[in-house]
Amino acid sequence: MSLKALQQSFIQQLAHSQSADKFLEYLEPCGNLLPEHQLAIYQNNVRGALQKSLAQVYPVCQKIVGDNYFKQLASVYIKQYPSKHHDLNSYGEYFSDFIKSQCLQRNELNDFSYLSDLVQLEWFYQQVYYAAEGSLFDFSAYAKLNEQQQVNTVFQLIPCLNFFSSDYPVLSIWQMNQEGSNKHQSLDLNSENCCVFRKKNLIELRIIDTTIYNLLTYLIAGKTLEELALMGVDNYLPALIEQGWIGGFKVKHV
Amino acid sequence: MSVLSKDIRPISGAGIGLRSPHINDILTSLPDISWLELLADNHFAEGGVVTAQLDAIAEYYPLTLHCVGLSLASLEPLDKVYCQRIKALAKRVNAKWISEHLCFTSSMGLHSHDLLPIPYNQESLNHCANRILQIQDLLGERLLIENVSSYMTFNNSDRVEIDFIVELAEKADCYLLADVNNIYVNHVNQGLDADYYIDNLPIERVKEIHLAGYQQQQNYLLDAHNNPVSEPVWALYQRLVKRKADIPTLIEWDNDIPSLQTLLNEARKAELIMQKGACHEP
Repeated sequence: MSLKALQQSFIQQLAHSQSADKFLEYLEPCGNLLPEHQLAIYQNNVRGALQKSLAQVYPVCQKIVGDNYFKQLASVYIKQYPSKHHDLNSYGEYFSDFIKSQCLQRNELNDFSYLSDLVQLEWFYQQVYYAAEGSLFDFSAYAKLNEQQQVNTVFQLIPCLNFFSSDYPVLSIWQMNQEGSNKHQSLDLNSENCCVFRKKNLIELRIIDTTIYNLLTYLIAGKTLEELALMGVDNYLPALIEQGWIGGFKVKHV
Repeated sequence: MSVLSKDIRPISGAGIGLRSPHINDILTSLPDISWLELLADNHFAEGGVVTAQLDAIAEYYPLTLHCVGLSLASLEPLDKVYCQRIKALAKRVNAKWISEHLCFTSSMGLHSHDLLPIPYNQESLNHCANRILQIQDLLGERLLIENVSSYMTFNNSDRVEIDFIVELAEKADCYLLADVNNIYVNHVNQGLDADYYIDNLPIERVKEIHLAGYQQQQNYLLDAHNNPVSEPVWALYQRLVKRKADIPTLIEWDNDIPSLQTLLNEARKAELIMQKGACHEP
């Protein structure tokens, strides 16, 4: 077997736990370890590393469903989604969709329909934690634009910010499950728009109203100042710049 | 404390692997640590607290970079993005050198996040040597290549690990990082001759030594980095240090991480052995 074929076969045994018979033919016993034991050690190591990584990214989900059940979910996820990135911090991006599908399939998760959105919030937290710094808005550069350029301006959000809308009070649930939280009141089953951002190395999670949520969505979509004004949301821009959520701009050429 | 500056102090004596539970402790008390090694893959963040802490650490301590993702034995095309990230990180923290494992971690676009062994034969030798040369070219410096723990024996290996490594170091003109715990783990699990291994390391190429603790499993040793360095590993270390006493040595501890003081005690123990070795050095 060539080195390439051997590596391909080996990695497939780890990623998909495929039938190992052919691969095992290329191993020989050593010490107390038969070929199948040798392979099993690596399968355990890989699964363990990915499970540990998921547990680090999704601690609130783990707390809610319990360590053992989380481990079960993680095992299934790992089989369905082998790692495709060298950076372990990038592993787990499909966990929210996966949890959504599991909630539909597993009776014991019937009461946890919010879990998928909670997982999404935890993923955004992880992304914001590692994201690049946001720059400060350059007022003097903006002031130099002529009137036409200003109306064609597209404002840019900082990279360490993410937001989403949930049908459930996921940020409240997340906060209740933080260490030392004294929030144990019953929750209103209201939807929440959540924003996760980093400021001076600290992560903040905030509920935002629908107007701000819509404005953030328009900014991501690349709407110009003129378009924002037509939708009546341009007057909220200074507040976003002041909070450091908008870090730059570019002039759209029309 | 004897901290000078990141640019002045060379890497010498016994250092420890920098792990996140200790970072606040280190930045608060600035303990006397000869040097620190970063797991490069844990420091790819583009901003935030991880980056800020690392920049602060780099101001006070000499650093080296230890990689797990170069996948230098892989037949996949070299991940040049990863190489560039390593190069940028090394520059940012003024890393004194960069090390990587003799293994592969990716194939067919899939990543194991574990150090996967290869057969020791001519095909592997040629491939790994070419790959190391390519990486060294990209990074602009010589790599330190580390021997890995292996739980697998391939029937198309035609030479023992140390002979492979000696040939590889010659062919790729690279440096070596001798992990003594891995040598011992492979001695127990695979029956390799640990004394022969230590005695045949091309000592002038060995620029760093790793020490760690294994975990006893039912019928093998797992290189878990979750225990103090074991007595048989200290004994092998003494044997290696007698050949050359001033090789910078690192204590690695990655799981069930103890207090910073425990790691510093292990490092101190290594330094005492180095001092004794200097008396015996021919």
